Amino acid sequence: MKHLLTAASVAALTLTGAAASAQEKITLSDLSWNGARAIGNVIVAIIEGPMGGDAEIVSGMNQAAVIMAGMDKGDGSIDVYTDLWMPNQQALWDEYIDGNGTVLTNQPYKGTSNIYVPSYMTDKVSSIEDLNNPEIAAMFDTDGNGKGEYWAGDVTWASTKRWQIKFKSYGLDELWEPNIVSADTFKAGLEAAYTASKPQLFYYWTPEALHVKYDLTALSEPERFDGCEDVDLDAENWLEVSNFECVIAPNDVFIGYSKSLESRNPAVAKMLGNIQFTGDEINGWIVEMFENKRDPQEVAEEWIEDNREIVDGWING
Amino acid sequence: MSAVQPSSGAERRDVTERDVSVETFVGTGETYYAPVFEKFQKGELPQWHQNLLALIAPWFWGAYRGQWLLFWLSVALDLLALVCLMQVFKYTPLLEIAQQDAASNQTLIARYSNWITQFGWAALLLFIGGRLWLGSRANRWYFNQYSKWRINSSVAHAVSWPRVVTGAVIMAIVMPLTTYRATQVRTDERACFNQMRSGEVTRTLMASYGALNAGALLGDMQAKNSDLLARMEALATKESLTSDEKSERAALRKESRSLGRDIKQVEANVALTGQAKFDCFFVDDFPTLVRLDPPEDVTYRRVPDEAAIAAGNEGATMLVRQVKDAVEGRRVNVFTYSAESIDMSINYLRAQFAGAFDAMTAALRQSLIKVEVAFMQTPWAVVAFLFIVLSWKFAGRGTTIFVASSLGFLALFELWQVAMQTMALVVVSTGVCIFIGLPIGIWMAKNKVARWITEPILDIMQTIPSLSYLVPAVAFFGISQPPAVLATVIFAMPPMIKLTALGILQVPESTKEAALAFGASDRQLLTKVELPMAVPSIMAGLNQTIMLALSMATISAFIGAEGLGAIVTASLGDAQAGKGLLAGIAIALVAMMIDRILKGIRNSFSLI
Amino acid sequence: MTDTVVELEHVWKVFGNRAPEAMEAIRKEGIGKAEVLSRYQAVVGVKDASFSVGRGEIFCLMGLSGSGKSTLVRHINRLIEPSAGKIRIMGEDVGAMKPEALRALRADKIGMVFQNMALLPHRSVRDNIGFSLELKGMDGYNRAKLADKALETVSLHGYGDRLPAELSGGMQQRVGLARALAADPEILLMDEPFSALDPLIRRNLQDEFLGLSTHLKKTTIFITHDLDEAIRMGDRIGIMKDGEIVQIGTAEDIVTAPADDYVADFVAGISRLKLVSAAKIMIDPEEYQAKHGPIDLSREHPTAAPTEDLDTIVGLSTGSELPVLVKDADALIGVINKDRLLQGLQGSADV
Repeated sequence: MKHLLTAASVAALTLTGAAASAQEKITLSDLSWNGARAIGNVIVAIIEGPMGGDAEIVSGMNQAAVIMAGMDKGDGSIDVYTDLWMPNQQALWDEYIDGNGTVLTNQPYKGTSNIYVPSYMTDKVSSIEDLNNPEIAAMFDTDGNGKGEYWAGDVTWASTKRWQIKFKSYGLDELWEPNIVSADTFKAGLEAAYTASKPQLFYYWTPEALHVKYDLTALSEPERFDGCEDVDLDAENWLEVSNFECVIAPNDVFIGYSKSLESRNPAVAKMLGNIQFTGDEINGWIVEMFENKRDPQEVAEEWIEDNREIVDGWING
Repeated sequence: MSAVQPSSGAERRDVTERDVSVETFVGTGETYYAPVFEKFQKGELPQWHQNLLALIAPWFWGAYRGQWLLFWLSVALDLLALVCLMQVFKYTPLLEIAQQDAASNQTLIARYSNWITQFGWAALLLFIGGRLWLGSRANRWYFNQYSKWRINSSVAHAVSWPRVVTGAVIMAIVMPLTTYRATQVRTDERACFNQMRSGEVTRTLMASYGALNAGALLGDMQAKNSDLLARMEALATKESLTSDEKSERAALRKESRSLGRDIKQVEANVALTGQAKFDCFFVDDFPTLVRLDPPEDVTYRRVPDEAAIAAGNEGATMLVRQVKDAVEGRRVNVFTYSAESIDMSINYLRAQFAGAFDAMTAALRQSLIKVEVAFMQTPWAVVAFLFIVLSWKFAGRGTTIFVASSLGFLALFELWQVAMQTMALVVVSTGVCIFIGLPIGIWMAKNKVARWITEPILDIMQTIPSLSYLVPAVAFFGISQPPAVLATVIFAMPPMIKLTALGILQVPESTKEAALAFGASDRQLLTKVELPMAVPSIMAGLNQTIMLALSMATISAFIGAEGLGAIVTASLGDAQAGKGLLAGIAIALVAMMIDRILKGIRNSFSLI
Repeated sequence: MTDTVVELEHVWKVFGNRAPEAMEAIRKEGIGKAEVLSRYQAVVGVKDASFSVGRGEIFCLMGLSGSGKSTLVRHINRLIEPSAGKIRIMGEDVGAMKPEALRALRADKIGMVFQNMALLPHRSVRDNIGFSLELKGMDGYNRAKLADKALETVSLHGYGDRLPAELSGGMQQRVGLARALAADPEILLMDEPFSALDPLIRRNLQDEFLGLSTHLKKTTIFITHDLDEAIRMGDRIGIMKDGEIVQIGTAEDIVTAPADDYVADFVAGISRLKLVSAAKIMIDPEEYQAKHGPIDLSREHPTAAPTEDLDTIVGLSTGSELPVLVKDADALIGVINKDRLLQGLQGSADV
């Protein structure tokens, strides 16, 4: 017994040094869209690769409000919000970033939000005005109640309300109703529809792998003008008081991280503050990871290797 | 008087005489155990009484005496203590490293020292406490073993060295590996995957380079790389480059980069230690044994058939098969391979039988609309009145009051219309369940083979997480109500089938025989005897089916089913506990209303 | 009895998956029960059973549980298919019948009564009784009429609208009997009909059934495990043991001349008072006189006919010191003194 113990402890002492790191583990959000997943994987690969640290995507951590509150607390339960779309999350931004100042961000990349149809539908529908036609709406009616359905997003997303506001503002709410299901469910539904060349109308964004898998076309919307977007998502009667009758401005998409990281893991905090992706880069990862189904970590590691100078720049600031 | 005795003696069995003395049982050490057993029987054995050998070497004593309970418990307790102790050894060096930069590692230092103390004490307590406990239990359990052995001669008795060997083998398998694992900081999740990948890359490269071993391969590759670098160098010295030279340089750079990547893989493979390989095979997760080339990436699409449409065949479609080039170097494990194959089968079925699926969806949608209209466009007063009348007629006053207040709840919280949507979903699903489930239930009761086939399928239908067939349901039938109905049907049908079958099977053989004896045909037997007698059971099945359908209402909301479930799902997303709770209570009330009324209806059958 | 209604010839029943092979082996090699079990995992339920029942006769099949009597009786309406042998009902081979004809036979010609009544719990008494008629497709009006008539026959008039569960066990079995009689069948198969009932009620029903029988004159095959009942009910009795009919005869035959030790064991405890006739125990007058001296015919000897049972002889004998004279049409054919009578009651006189 004694021998065994000695042997084991010797083994323990010799083995652990290399594998363990004396750094605080970084926890990342697990948002449900591809872009967020790709960014998450790249950040994990940067922390675990060049920085020699430890990071983890906390599975199931996908509620914006919960993540923000966790970062606000700064207890390490959740440290990084991988893909913060603005102005979709204006309320959270106001509370934690501008207000408490407990959450910091990097320089954003640009994303776009539009409403799409599969390209085989474009001879019938190509602009938002086309939707104002009962014949068209009937084509998109899947539950037989006379209204066409469109996917407005997951119930947890702020964009879901924005699209309802837009449809109301365009005067389409008599003919259309939102289908609010999770992104995965929607994708399964889109696959079913696309496979049989059936109509489908849905909110989507770039960068995203879906555009590689399917041939999709964004419906044209009115240009932006002053006062075309007046949205209050927190009001109880948000649908009634808000108005939004133009195309959504390109989104600024940030990485948010807890200010507490500056004391708990300053190196990572510095790196996160310096990070700067481009939409194209993210698109490239998404295609590799989710369309070509390559191992996300492998893709991330490869990208880091090929862009070592940039990454080192972020790390060393 | 008439009773006839069976011929005497027939009912007696021969019992072989067996020596059941303590002496034979213990084998050796009778002088110690006999008095101990006696004391124990008299209740005089003090609680602190210890069996010294069991205290010192419990696993040896347990195996030697065949007291396996004690053996396993001692193995478990010692193992637990050992693992705790190993945590101390694991974290001590980490603590030291952290202390080198105490200022920036305060959280870590606190955490590690905390763990070290906790695990240390736990190890000590488990070891000493466990031993004392086992030592005091040993003789008591040994006596119980003796009592069992007196009844059943196959219970382990006496002492045996082969058993000790068995015990030693068990210890040898369990102890060292677990101890080793406990000393390891959890291996990097990617380490084993990287090992495998570097192995794969190295093997492929060895084949293409014709190298005999990895070392030689590395040499070859480095030589090639320096050659590439030299050529790039040569280009770099030139003052100006032609466009050809520029593209050559780009190509060289690209080649060199990919070669560099390969070299890293081979280096990693060469640098692999035996210990790292061992860790990946035995210590961590079950190792990935094979990686396959992924299945061919085929997509099927049903598109308008322009030629046929031009020929006047309106709405003609055709199946298009698209094959995507394989991603180079991508290999998948068996799980991914199977999952992707299933995806492609679903895609094929959906494209091939698009018409059938759409027709089915349309039929379900139509029936849903009809039922929904019945529930939602009937004024609430009428629906409420009907509910109350039903419960009054079948279920008595108490239930009627309950039903009335439940309806009041729905009305007051303005959940009426939503609740009616849920009802419509439940009614249609239940209808489909009866329509399909009843015949299957009858078939199952009548046919042994059918029973043999159906039972495991039903068990799977009931136990498979309902979320995991929601996605295929969507893949075939799209989002919204119809796939929700189908998912609900799959989830809710098993009790209908099972209880129909059970009800029929429960009809006494003698009753069926009587019916046959009076000239019943198979059909008459079913309709006049079996089904009527199975009605209570079928009603119970119906009741359960409805309850399950209601509980599925929440889950169906994930794929766009409307109704109370949608409120629950939405509240989950918005973290609005109140809304979700109220809607949840509403679902429960609807369920209970239906349950009580159905029970009343069922009781009116149970006069039988 | 020349008018044979039910006739069984060498009926065998072997249970088990390999029953046909086992039957083949029995036929060719004559292997025994134990061997059938060990070689083919098959059980012999009925072994070479033959008997015939005449019109209006009550034939009792008697045996312990597991002796195969219930199995055997189910061959008659082919609820069980025989492994070998022939069953004829009014000359017709039951085994050769098409399903259609078989159902007609069951519905029209054979009524069956079951030990556990086997009534349909969801139907009223009247609908239970009319069940066989309904299966034949008779209309509701006539069905109800016939059912009510059958109810009257079993003295349950007015219970037609009850559910079986509302009736006592004895009443339920009357319903069972009424159901069997409703279609006015030729043959009654009664499978331990009274076994589950209390002794008093059983006795009652036995008497009532005997009364019914005398004027309905149904050919009846009556199964029981109770020898007393068999003796009370049966014109003839077949005793079964391990699937085999070991003896067929009248009650008296069986009691006074058991075929083997098994039957002897069975009848050992039976009261002989009502079974054994004077003729069976009387001593030849010559023999008697040789032993006890001449009979003084001038004295008032009690006199009995040879068919009188022991019960009567005991009555006669206790009234006088003199032996009982057995006379057949005034001719003295035997003598029974008190010793002989006691021997006769004990059963040692005739063995």
